[in-house]
Amino acid sequence: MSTRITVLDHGNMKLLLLCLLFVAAPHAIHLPIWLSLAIIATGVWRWWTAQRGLALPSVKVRFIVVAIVVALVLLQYSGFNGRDAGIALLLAMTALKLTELQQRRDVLVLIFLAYFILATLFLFDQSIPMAAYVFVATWLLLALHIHLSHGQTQAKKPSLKLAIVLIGQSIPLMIALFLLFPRLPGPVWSVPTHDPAARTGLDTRLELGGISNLVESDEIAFRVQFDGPVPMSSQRYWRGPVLNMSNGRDWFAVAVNHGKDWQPTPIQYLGEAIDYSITLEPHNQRWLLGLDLVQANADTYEFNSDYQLLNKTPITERQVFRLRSYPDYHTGALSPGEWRLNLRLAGERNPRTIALGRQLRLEAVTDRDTVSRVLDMFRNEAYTYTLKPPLLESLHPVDEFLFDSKRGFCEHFASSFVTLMRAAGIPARIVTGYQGGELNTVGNYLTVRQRDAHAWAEVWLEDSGWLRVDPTAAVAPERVERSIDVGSSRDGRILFTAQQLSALENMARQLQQNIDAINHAWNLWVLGYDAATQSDFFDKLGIDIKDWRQLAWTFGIVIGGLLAIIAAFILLKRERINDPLQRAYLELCKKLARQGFERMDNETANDFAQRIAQQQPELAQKLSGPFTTYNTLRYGSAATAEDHKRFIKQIRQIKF
Amino acid sequence: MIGALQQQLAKLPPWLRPRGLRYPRLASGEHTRLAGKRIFILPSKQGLFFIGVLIVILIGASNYANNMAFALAFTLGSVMLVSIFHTYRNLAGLELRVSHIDDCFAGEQGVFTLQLSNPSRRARYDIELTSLATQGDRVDLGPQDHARATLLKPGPRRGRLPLGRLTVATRYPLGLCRAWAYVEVSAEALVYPRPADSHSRPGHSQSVGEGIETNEPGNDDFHGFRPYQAGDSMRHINWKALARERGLISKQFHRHQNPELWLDWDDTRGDLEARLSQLCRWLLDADGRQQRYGLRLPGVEVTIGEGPAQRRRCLRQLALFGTGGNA
Repeated sequence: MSTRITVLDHGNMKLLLLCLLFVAAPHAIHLPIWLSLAIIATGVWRWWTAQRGLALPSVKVRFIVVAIVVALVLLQYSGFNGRDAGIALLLAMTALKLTELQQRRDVLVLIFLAYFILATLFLFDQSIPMAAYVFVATWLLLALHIHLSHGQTQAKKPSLKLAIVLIGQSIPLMIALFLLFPRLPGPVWSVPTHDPAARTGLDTRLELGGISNLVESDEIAFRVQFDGPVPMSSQRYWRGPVLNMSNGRDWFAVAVNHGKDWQPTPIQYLGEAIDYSITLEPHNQRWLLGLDLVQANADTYEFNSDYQLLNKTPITERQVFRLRSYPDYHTGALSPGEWRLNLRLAGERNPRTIALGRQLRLEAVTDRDTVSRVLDMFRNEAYTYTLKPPLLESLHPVDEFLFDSKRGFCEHFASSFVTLMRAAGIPARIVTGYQGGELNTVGNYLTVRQRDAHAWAEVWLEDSGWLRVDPTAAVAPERVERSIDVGSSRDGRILFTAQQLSALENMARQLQQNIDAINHAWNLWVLGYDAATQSDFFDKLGIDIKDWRQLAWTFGIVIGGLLAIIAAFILLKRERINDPLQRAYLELCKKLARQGFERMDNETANDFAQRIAQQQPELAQKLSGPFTTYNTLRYGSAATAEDHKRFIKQIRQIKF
Repeated sequence: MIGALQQQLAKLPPWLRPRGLRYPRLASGEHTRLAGKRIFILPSKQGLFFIGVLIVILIGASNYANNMAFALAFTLGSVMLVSIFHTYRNLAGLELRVSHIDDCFAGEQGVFTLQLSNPSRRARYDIELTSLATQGDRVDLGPQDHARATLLKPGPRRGRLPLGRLTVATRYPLGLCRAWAYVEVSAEALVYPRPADSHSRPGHSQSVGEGIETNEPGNDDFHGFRPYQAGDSMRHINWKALARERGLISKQFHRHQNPELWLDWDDTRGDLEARLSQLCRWLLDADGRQQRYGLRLPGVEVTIGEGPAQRRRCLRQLALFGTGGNA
């Protein structure tokens, strides 16, 4: 490697600094502001010193600055563990590298660091816009790399064009590597989960007013692709945490003590199965959201006695799950523990509700009758479904809602319904999850957002087992049919997305669906390509991924074949001889070949002429003119275009 | 390490060497084309470092199951693979010719001027030419362009100075790979003896000949004009005629009193090199005075003559005397 020292000129220094800024800019969102500013200041300072021709700081000064920066990062992140601290340190060190930027070697180190920084951008965001940004940055960086690789030459190289050509030619290889490179099923070292509190989503505790907060969010919770037809909206209850314990106000999930020797009766799944894949956004919890009621694969997931589907580990990355559900089912008998837990009331609280429940029990003929009486009450009395219910601050919030305010959201209806049922002696509990979802007609999948979060009730009846009852549907049947239109719901008054849309709204909606469909495809096919999908892919090709020899052969043949094609494309591209002089000379050689004088590859024009002269002096006489002219034109200095033309004409006229 | 291996391989007889080391011989005036088969290509140090960066990105991508980081690493890796072909193409088909060689005196540097021709329609960049113990050069070539590269090789000793094995190399475009080819340049410069100090000239030595050499100007009688010929001294050009745009005309002199001079081996003392140095000095002095002179060495005689051709002839004899070479 040449160790020639090249001090960057001003123009190149500017290019390098701008390129580095472009590469690192998206990280500014995650860095503390002081660090972002310090990094930019370092860049500006380096530019300034380059323009003024000032000396760079000594090793001692640089060492002290490095120590200070390391200490500050250490303080800021309280340690170097974790992704954010690591990236802060990487960027700080890159900026500090500028303070000794002088030689070609430093330039290369900076460019290589920039390639690495580009990769770290994806740790935060792998969306299509970010991929496009990194693509552009890679292009610029490669062009800069070509441009600065050889500082000595004066020639203006077409760096930008060459960089895009290089990328273009390498894309087939990249795709092959992407598909074939073996993926590991799990992390090599543990990946710390980041900021668990920052995500919105369901919780294992339901407070009155808790879900209405979620409803404000347009964030996507998950997307579902059905193998068959999309089920009716009234069937689309996505089961989340089941809450079976109350303190009179809030609801919690507690583990059931089934008691000794309890043999659970197996669930009877009835009717037709619904198969689907659900792409879950990370929520840092273990639960999956299946359609009621999921038939669980015990190897992959945990299925608790509340029929909640749990992943083995918290879901920290977007993940795809294959599930099967049956909308008709019979869950069988309750254990003594379940009986006790699902009838339990919160002591002395909400006495009026409990009294009402007890009264219903006396009046009703069957448990089913009790259920429909309560639903009728919600339907017929002046209950209002609202996003902004009055705060219930008394000791008996359910009483307050049920008899006084009568304004509430799904959690109010669900919790008061369950309390009434328990008072009436019917085992009941709250189920939280999502209801509905918007059908994306472009990709034919369902998008479920946080605003589709919902709470409903389940009662246990002798003849059907656990049965879903949604008291909200009694008050506001539209809720189950359509999504809440959060944007236009004001003053707590809930508006649902209109069936009839204006042309403009329709267009906007169509556009949004298109974008979402592209994002979904990206998530599913590009970002979702993991060890499992890779294994499926190899299976389809008839290759056993566990047999490393087969894998190596496939890898070698595909990559080798592609390389051969690319090499042929680059090297064998027919290059027409554009040199008229050369063409004329070759024409002459062809004529001579017909006379029996084959020019050898390594023979110069002089050698060739001499050989002919030895064998056939009279022919040589005829040729001496053209050969001499050729040599003077080719290797002489001052040949004009006129001379070339004359020579070409001369050759044309030669006949043997 | 690679360099050491190559040197070992280059010592083998040609038919045993790897194909790339069976390089063509390039004599003066000939030209050769760098054929693809003779081009080596390997990652440079920078390329190895680049591979290291890619491996780190891959490990990170594996750990975080980050598919876009995978895609970036694979793109960069593929770019490096593809760039191999570009680097190769930058060298393959290049034409090379020794266009001019400047001889030198011992202790100076022989100058080899090579002409590179790019027969293709693509520009070629950053072609490095180096040879053992030479100061290399670096050229760019436009489409169907020619360029000259100059290599300086020190000639410490009298005799022949071949350029030796020439390495034509390139790292274009990314500097991640280096492609190179060897050409054995048999064209050689001559290294003349180092001229002895003027003072060491013994006065009595110019005994042979018709007269005593004198230094004084004005000995030449003006004889007439003739058109300028290569080798005529600048001092004899009729500048007035040139100013009047009558072309280059030389004044001619007859030298009655400037005797012809024999530079004779027998007039010198010391060992072989010292004697040749002495003769070289006298030769240069005589040439400087436009004297007619001849050279006598044991077994060799150059008849009386003058001008650059005579000077070259004699210096050649001095350079090659006793080296076993056929002058």
